[in-house]
Amino acid sequence: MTSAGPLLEIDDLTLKLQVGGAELTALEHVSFSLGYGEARGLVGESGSGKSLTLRAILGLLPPNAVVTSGRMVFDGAEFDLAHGSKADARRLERLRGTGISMIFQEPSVALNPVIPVGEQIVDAVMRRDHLRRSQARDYAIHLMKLVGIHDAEHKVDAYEFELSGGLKQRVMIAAAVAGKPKLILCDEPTTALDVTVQRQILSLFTHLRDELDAGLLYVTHDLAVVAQLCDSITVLYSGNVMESSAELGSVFDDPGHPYTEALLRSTPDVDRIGRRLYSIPGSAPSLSDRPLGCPFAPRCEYRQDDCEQARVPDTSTVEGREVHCRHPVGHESGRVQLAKEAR
Amino acid sequence: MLRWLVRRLLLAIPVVWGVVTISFFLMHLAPGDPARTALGDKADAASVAALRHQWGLDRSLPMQYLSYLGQLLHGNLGQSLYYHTSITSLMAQRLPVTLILIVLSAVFAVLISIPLASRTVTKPNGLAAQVVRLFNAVIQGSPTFFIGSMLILFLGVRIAIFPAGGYPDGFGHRLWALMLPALTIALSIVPLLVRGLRAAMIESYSSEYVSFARSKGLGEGKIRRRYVLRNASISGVSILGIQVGALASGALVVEQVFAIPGMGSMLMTGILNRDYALVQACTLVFGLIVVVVYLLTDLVYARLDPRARLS
Repeated sequence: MTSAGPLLEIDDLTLKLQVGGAELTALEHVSFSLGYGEARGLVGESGSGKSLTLRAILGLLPPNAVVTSGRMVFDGAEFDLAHGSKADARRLERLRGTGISMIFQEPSVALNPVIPVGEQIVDAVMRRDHLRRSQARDYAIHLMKLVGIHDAEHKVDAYEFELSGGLKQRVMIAAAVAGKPKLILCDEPTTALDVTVQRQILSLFTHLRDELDAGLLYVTHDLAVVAQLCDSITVLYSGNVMESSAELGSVFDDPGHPYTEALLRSTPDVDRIGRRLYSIPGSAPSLSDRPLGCPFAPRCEYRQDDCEQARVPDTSTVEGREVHCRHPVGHESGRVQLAKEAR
Repeated sequence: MLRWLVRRLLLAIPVVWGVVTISFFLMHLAPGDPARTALGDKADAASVAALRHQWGLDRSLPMQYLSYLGQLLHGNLGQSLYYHTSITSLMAQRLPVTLILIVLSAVFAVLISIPLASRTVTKPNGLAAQVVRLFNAVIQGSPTFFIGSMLILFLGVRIAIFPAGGYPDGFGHRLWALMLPALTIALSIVPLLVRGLRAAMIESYSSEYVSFARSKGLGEGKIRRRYVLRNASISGVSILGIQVGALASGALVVEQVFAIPGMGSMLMTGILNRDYALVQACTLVFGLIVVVVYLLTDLVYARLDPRARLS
């Protein structure tokens, strides 16, 4: 699955948002990596910084965002994400479409309403291959069929508002794969869709993964989606990596961070129909009053006095696993029992 | 499409009728008497009365109104009391001049506004943006005749690129003579157009479809042309369409400043001499111009915005 080194490596990404004179830290020392062809789930609640992470990778941040530290390695090339380096920003721009592409959350606002959808795929096709427009159009139709649009010959001239949500998302996927990228960033691509359509789009992703051999960085708050699609997982909370694992199964069976455990407990399960669904007490801290130590500490059932001290180190002892908790689940007797009972 | 056009044309009828009626009564209710103006202060009452009778001005106002409407329905704009010729033939001379002036000024307004708006959006704190801000304030605070006079002084007299006024013979010379007047009119709506385009472009730039276009790897130039200006032009067209009334009234004033023999100078002569039929005909023609431009605006709008084609 991997050649020498990972496809993508994000190292110590810290990002601040300027809001009304104040500077709020939205991402703090975020690091993870992704192998060639690997699919990693980037999981967290709203406001945990998942989407910002994706946009930082593509250099598509909002104007009030400032990256204060962060290094990225993509396919062997190194980029400095901070310090506003113009040269690095330009190199990053050149990667878009052909190296890294992105599928957005809301297909209805991500497609231009006054240009036929086919043209918007053609734009992406022409970016990689210097085809004539008519050839590019044929290729766009081919792509539309690849993503499961049956009457692509007609739909190629349709406008965004003439298509259903599922079709729009397929069009966007077609445009995202048009440049044959090595990495596709997915920003909750099924959240805005009906449940039945969600299933279709998810199986399309599974199919495309085999077809294209591209890496996926899949942002979602839905652990069931991660279980279906991903090989590895990174759990974000309030802009911090809580837990990360190259192996998805180990996290699902044996969560290290109390937050991961709480997330798993609050996922609906058909085996537990009729029982009250667990919900994490309290709510995620706003960016302006985040605690000094572990950001999850105020809501954590296992909180101890030292949790709110300075930044929590990686306490994992397992290779390929990272847990930012001073008192990981399963390490203290009694806790294991409690966690097992809860599950 | 054809049905839509027919419907729009039918809807234009009451508008035109309204224009005709209002201009008729405004003109006739205003003090002043064309017969007295024509004969001068020293003429005796009997000859004034005779002339009024000859022109049909001694009939009751409703009667005059009805006969005027009947005449219009026959396509007859009537006789000018001042020029003593048929108004239709006067229009044939004057209308093209004003139409060319309006079209030319609309073209100038667009050609000036798009680069200015783009510039202020892509570099909001740059020198160009500051200049545009100042320029907008100055232009909006200055009446058209003042801007016209300044342009004459600088580009007509100081650096004599353009003629300072008048309307020479020959198509090329005439077009050249219309440049400065058209620029003057255009400048009066540039601030509005720049502001409208700027707002639409900023909205486009912050939209997800531009982010998505960027994620596909498109260059900034292509994004501006295809994804931002394309969308912003929709609101640009509607602003321009609404402003055509401003362009037309601008033409009236500017023709005076530059001594261009168009509709404007004819309308002024008509008003000063209480030439009822002439003033009404001019108002009617301006009304028709606005109606036609609104129709064209909607056609172009539907062409640019596929969402508008549905209804």
